[in-house]
Amino acid sequence: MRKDSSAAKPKRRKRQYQKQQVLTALLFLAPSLAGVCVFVLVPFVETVRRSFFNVLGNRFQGLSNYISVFQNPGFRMAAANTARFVAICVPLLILISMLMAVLVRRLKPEIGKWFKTTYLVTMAIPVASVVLLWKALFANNGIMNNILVNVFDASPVSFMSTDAAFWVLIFTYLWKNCGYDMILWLAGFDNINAGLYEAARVDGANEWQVFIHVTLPGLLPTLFLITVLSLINTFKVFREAYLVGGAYPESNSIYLLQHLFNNWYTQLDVSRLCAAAVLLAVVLLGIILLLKRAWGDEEE
Amino acid sequence: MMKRMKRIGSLLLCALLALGLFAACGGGGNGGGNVTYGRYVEEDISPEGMRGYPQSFVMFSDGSLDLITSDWSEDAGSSYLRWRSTDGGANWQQMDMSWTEQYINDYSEYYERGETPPEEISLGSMYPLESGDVLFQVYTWKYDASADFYSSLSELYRITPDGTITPFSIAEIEEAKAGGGNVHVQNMLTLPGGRLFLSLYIEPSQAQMNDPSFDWNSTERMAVYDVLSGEKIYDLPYRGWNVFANSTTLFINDYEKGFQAINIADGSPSTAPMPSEEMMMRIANSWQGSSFVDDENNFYMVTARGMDKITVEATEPEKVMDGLNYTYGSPLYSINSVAFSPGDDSMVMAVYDNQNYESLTGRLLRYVWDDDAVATSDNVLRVYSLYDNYSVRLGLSEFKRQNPDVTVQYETAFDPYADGGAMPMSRGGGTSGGGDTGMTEEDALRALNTELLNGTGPDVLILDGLPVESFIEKGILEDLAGVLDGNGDLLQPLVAPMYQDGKIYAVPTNFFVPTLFGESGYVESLADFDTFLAAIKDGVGIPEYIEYDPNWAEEEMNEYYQKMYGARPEEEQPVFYVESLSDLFVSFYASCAPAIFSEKTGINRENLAAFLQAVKDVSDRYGLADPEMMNMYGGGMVSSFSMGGYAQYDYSSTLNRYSQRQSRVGYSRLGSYNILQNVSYQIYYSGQNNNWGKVVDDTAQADTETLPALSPATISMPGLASGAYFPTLMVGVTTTTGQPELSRAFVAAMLSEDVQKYDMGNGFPVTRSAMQYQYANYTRRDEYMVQQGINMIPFDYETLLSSLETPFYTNSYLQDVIYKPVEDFCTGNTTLEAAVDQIVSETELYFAERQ
Repeated sequence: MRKDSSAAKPKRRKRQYQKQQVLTALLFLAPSLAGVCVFVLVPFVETVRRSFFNVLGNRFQGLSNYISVFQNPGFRMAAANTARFVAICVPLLILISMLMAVLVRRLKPEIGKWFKTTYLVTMAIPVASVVLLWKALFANNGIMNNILVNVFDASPVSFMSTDAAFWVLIFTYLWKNCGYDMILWLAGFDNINAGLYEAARVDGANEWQVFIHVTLPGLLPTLFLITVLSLINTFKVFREAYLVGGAYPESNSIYLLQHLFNNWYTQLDVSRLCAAAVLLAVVLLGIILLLKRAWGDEEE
Repeated sequence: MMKRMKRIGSLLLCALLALGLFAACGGGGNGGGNVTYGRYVEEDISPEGMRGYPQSFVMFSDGSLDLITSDWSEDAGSSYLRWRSTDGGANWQQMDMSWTEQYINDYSEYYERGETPPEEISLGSMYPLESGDVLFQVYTWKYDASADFYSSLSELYRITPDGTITPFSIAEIEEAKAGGGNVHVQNMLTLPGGRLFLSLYIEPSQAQMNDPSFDWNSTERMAVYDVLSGEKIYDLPYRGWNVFANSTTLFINDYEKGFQAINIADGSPSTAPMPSEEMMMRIANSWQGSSFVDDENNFYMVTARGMDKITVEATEPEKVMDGLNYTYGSPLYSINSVAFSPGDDSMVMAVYDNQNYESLTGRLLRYVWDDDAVATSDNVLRVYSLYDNYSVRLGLSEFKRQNPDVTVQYETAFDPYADGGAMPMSRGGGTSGGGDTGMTEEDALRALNTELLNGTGPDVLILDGLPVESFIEKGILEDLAGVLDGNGDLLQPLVAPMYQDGKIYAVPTNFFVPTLFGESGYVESLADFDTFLAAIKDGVGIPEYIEYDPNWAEEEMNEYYQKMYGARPEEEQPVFYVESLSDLFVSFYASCAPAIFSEKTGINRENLAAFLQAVKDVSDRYGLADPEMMNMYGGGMVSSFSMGGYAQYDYSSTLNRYSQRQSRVGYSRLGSYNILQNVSYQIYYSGQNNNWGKVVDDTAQADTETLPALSPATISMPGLASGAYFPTLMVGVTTTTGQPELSRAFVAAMLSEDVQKYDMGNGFPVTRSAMQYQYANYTRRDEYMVQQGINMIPFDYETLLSSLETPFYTNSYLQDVIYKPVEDFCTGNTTLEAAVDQIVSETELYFAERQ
C-alpha cells in the first residue's frame, strides 16, 4: 500500500513545530530554572544531605540528627509555638482579609481604591520601623500601658515578658498582611464570572445564597493561593520577633523555629539545624499538598 | 527573522546566566597559591652600639641621617649618644656628646636628706640640624624654700660641631625672660631653606592668670624662624598640634579651623590640595604611631598595624605595608619617628623596645621597596580572633620570625581603633563589639561559621569569646595533644583539666584568677565564702554618700575628700568597700558562676539561690540598692592603667578602695604582676599621705601623718566554686585547615618563651619559664621599691596553681540575664524564689537548645 505522502507532511510539520515550541519554552525557562536549581534545589539537596551527616559533612550519622532534634526541648517548644502561631494566624488572616475585601467591594470605586492603597502601605513599612512602633506601644511604660492605666484604670501588662507578647506578634502579623491578602481576595472576586451571579439572581437566590453557592466556590483557587502565601508569610514574622526580643526573647511564647535555627547556626549546630529544616519542609509540603488536594483540585 | 531574534536572545540569556554562575563558582578560595611580588623590605641599620631611647631622629634633604639617643639605664648612667650617617645608614659616625654632661647633675643627696635642691638643671628636647649643629632645650627649676615656691625657665641653645655653645635667641623667649616669665617649645620642625618652625607655649604670669579677661589663646604661638639667626620670618595665626611639612607646604591641625595648608616660602595660606577633613582626622587621631607627607601631599600613617597611604582623593586609606610582616608591627616595639626619603621612596623608622622599662632600647629600621620581593607567598596562614589582641600579634611576630617565607593574615571581627591605626584596647566583654560598624558578636560568629562550613575558614582560631565548648563538640577543632606532648614547660594544673579523653582541642595561652587582696594574716581568714560574708555583715558599713558642692569652703572640701577618699583607721574600714550593685555582682560572680551553671547541666537552682542571697546580704549591709546609691553608682567602676607598652590593666573600684586604705580587702581579676605592683605602690603612697585629697591646702601636706606600712597578701576570691580560673585566650586549629603543620607551628609559637614571657594584658602565661621570668621581673623592680619602704605583695604562683581546679569560660549572655533579677531581688521588687524562677525561665531556652 502506498503511503499518502500529502497526509504525512502536515504531521511531520506539526511534530517539528511542537519540538521547536518545546525547545523555545525550555530556552526561555532555562535561566529561571537554572536559578531555582542553583539557589533552591541544590542547597535543599545539600541541606538534606547534611541532615544525615556530622557538622563538617564528612561523617554519615544516620538518623541521629533527627532523633536529637525530636528529643531537643528547644525544638519542641519552638515547633509548638510556631504551630500555635500558624494555627491562629492563618485562619484569622484569611477571614479578616476576606471580610475586608467584601466590604471594600461594597464601597464606591474611588473609596475602595483608596482603601486598597492604604492597606498595602503596611507591607512597605520597614521592619525596623515596625519594631520601633512595637517598643513604643508595648513597653512596660509604653503607650498601651499608659492607656490601660490612665484611661481604663487597669493594671499595666508586661507585654513583652509574658504570653501577651504572643498576641502582640499575632496582631502585628495580621496588621501587616491583611492588606496584601485583601488585594488577592479582590482579584479572586474579579475572576468570578459575572454571568454566574446573574443566573443565580434570575433563579431567585438571595445575597447570602449567592455568596455561598457562587462566590465561595469561585474563590477556592484564591483561597488555596492565599493560604499557602499566608503560611509562608508567617515565617517572616521572625524578623519582628528577633528585633524586639533578640535570640532569646523574654517571653518563651514568641520563641519560634527561626529563633532556634538562628541560634543553632550561631552555635554551629548545623546538622541538627538541617534535620529540623528538612522536617519543617516536609510538614509544609504535606500541608500544601493537602490543601491542594482539598481546594486546588476544584480549579481543574 | 523574529524567530531567529528570539532564539539569539534566549541563547544570550542562557550564556549570561552560565557566565554569572561560573563567575560565582570561580570566586572565593582562601587565597592560597597566588604568589604576588613587590613589597617594602626591612633592614636593620642601627648604629653599632646603639642603646637608649631614640630621642631625636632626622633625615635631611641630602639623605643623611642624624640620631640622638638617651640612655638612662643603671648600667649606662645617664648619658646621651649621637650618630650621623651620610650613606643612608650603611656607616655611622659617633658624635661627641660629652657637652651634655654639664647639664646632667646628681641631686640625690638632697632627696636623701629630704630636701629640695635650690636649683635643678636638666636637658630637654634636642634637634639636630643639617649643618651638624644641635638645638637643645635647657630647663632650670628654682626652688624658693622661704616661700615654698617653684619657678622654671626654659632656654634654647645651639651647639656647633666644634663644641661651641651659644644661646639661640628668639624674640618670644627673650621677652618672656625679661618679664620674669617662661616659654616652652612644644613642637619644632626643620623646614627647607634654612627655616625652623616653632610652636611655643608662653607661660602666663600670676597676674595674667588671675585676670579673668586674660586671653588664654595668646599663650600659644606658632612662627617660622631663620635657623641660623633665630630671626622670625613670619608668624602663623594658628594654634594646634599635628604639624607636617614637605618641601613646599606646612600642614597644621588648628584647634578651631582643622587642617590648614601653608606655603613655607611666605607663610601664606596654600591652595595645594590635601586629603579630606575626615581622612586628615584619622591621621590626627592616630596615636602611638607616626605620620609624614610627601611632595604630592599624600599622607602616610605608620602604626603597629602597618603603613596606610592617604592620597588627596582618598575616601579610605590604602594599605601600603602590613605591620604583621615587619618588626615595628610587634607589640614589643613602639614607633618613635619615621623619616621619608622622597628620592627613592624609602623610609627609616626609629622604634624602641617598650617592654624594657629601664632603657627603652631603640633600633633604626630602613624600608626599601623591592619589586622582586614576595608580597604574598603561596604559604598563607590565616588566624582569626573576635577582638584584635596584642598577644596574638606577638605570637604572629614570633611565628613570622621562625617562618619568614610564610605570609600571615590576621583577621579580626572587631577593630575599634582601626581608623586611628593604633592598637585596640583589650577586649571589654559584652555582646556587641567595638567600632562603629554596628556588628555584634553574633553577626561575627555567623560570618565565621559560614566560612568554616564551606571550607574557606581560617586555619587558626583564637577563642577569645567564640563558643569553645560548641566548637569542640562539633568537631571543628583539631586535637593538639601532639603539639603539647613533650612540652614540660606547660603549667599542667592549667592545661590538664582541658584534656578530653587524652585529646586537647583548645590550648589556653593566658589566664586570670579571681583574687581577693588584703592584709596578710587577715585575708587568709576569709577564704571561706560564708566567713567572708559574715565578716562583711559584722564589719562597719561604707560611708554615707555626700553630694559634692563646688561652693563649699576650703575646710568643708577637705573634710569631704577625707571622708570619701582618705585613708582611715582599720576599725573604721568596711571589710569590702563596694559601692554599686553591679560592682558587687561582678566581684562575686567570677568566683560563683562555675557553681551556678554549666553548658552541659544548665542552672543549679540551689547555688543560684545562695549566690543571690549572698549578693542581697551584702547589698543590704551597704545600702547598695537604695535609690540614692543606685543613682550615684549605677554602673560598674573599673579604671585601667598601663605600664608604658600597649597593654592595659583593669583596676577595680574595690581594689582601689583597698589600696587607698579605705577597706580591709579588695577584689581583682588577677592576671598580671603589674597589678600586684600597682597595689603595692598605692598602699605605700596612701600611707605616706594620709590626707590625700586635700587639694586646696598644699601646706597641710607637711603635717601629714605617715601610716605604718601594710603587708598585703592575696587569696583566691572566696565563692561558691573553688579553684575557678578563666582562660582568657585559647588557641585552636580548625579541622578544615589546609596548613595543619603551619597552624601547629603557630600554636607552638604562642606557647614559646619569647611570646609567653611578655605581659600583654591578657593574663598570666601558661608556661613555667614565662611565669618565672615575669616573677623575676617583678622582684627585680621590687628591690627598688623595698628600698623606698614599699612592701611588695608576695606572690607564690605555685600555691596559686595548686589551688586551680575548674576552667571557666566567660559567658556574657548568661551574666547579663542573671544580673537583672539580682537587681530586682536586691531592691525588694521580687522574692528570692521569684528571682530564681525568672533566671531559670529566661535561661531555659538557652540551655534547651544545647541539649
